[in-house]
Amino acid sequence: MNLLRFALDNLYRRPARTALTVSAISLGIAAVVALTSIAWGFEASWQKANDARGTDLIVTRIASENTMPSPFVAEQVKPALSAIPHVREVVGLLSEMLTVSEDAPPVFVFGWAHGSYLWEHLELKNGRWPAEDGEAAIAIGSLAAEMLHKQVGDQIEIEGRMFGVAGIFESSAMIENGALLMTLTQMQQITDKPGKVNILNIKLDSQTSEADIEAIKAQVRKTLPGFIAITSGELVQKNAVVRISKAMSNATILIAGLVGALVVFNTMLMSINERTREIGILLALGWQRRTVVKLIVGESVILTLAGGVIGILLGILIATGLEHLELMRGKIAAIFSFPFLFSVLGLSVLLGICGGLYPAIKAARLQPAQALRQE
Amino acid sequence: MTMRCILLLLGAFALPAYAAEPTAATLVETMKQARLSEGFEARMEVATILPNGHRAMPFKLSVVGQIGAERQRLRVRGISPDKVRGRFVAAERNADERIRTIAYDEQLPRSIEKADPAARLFDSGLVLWDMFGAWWSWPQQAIEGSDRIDGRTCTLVRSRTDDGTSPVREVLSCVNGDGKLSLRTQLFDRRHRLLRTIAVKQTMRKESGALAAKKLTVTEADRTATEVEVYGGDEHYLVNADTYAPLDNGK
Repeated sequence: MNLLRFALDNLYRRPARTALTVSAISLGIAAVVALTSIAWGFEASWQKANDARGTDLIVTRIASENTMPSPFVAEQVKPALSAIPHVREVVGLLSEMLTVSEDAPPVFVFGWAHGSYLWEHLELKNGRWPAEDGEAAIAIGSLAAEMLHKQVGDQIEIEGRMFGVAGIFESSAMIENGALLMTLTQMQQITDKPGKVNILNIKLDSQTSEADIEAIKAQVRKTLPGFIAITSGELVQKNAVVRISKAMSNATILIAGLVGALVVFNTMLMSINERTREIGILLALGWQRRTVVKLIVGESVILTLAGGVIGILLGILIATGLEHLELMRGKIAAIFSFPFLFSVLGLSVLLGICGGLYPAIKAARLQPAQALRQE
Repeated sequence: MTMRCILLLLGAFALPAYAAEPTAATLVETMKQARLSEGFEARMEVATILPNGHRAMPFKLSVVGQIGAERQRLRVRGISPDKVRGRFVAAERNADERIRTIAYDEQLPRSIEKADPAARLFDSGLVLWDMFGAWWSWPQQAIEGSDRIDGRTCTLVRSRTDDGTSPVREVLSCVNGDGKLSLRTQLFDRRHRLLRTIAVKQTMRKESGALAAKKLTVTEADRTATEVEVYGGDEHYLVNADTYAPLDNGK
């Protein structure tokens, strides 16, 4: 009988305890997988939305750490930005999360400068774009159309004003698919922020190098006090919600790791206490102490590995389920990368080793004669 | 000699402890300063829950304000649904501390009429008089200990007035000094009957670092509760020349 089979048999002998230990570990691992994938997905959704628009740099207020930076008057900074070398286009964006239907959760409503490059990456599936700046018309993302049960020609009330649905679009960024889109002027009117934007999107020319981008950032810092030029990735990194969700996922990893190691530690300690006589016989039969250590650590690794695999599957199920919740639809897309999932599996193996090491050493140190006297 | 040393020691310890506690005057001044704004806008969703549990249809409104040391002006605009859409209430409080209030309709430019600042706004627990925080200017202010609300320590400040025309005679506020925000405000009438309690349920941080209410509940004497959630706004709102025009024209 090889050591692996022997370890498996030992676990089969106590099915209830094994099942409970595996369940506890799998729940911890599931929480790690679900929370981390959602946190990464949330970050990636925002970054993808910014990247898909073709924006090279974003200018915003320094103090902005909310989901959307606090608004400022675009004309205060736009002329200075347009004059910077390599800057091809400076486009304002105003956004808010608004309730537009009693039957649906709040949705993102974006206001983009009419005719700007921001609209170019969207694929119009049905209808048309708002024809002019002053038209009370909106385009809605395919997911938003589904959630709000709206189609081209319908009306939507936004902040007390009626807007006709001119078109339905598809975007590569999920956040935009779940959003409503109108011209910047219309958005400024309904939110009572005339002339204001949350961010200014900058498109640079094709000759711009990395050094030029750094120079533009430095120039904005120097010439426009209170403002900062950052890439979309940097903007997302500064986002308070992204930071909170990442901190929560890190805290979960830490807590789940500690709880998992303690659960394994407790299980294996109980197991060797019950099997003192059995371990004594093995040692009396000539088993090396190293082999006993291998057996006990092997058992704990099998426990945590099984918990890890089940936990990963459970975590994927939870995250996918959350994505389809009405409240979360169009806002998150969980990301399950293979390196991350393998890391989680590695974490569960590490938990097995850490939790099983002390009980294993304790078992290996038993004196056969003393162990055999144990009732 | 020993007694003198003990007294000196006690004095040395007592002084910093005494100095750490804010006086009513400093706390009131902090609150008055925190309210100052050249222009702000807050859009909020308001839902009223009657004592029998019936939940009235929620509505949205926008509040635009300008709070100066001498003059304070507020304009409330109903956003949606139809029963409030386009309905305005504007009020002004000058150095004489009187609040002048008007109500008008967007569709009827000549419909301006005088309104009561102590009246409930759009059948909810919101009262324009409360938004002015008039009690911070009253002469009688006293600290009455401290309390803890949702894990935050706050100082109880009792404000009183003898002004017979004031709809509220006494206000007990629980002020979080760091956040410069009253976490709970209880308003009493001249017979010391509780009129309503304004309790902050969730806060948000302003650019200045001070806190502002994001969610609050107004509970009236008959247990009618009004839940208010601020969902949008602008700390640096650019007040247009015509924002308070009806108020100016009505003088």
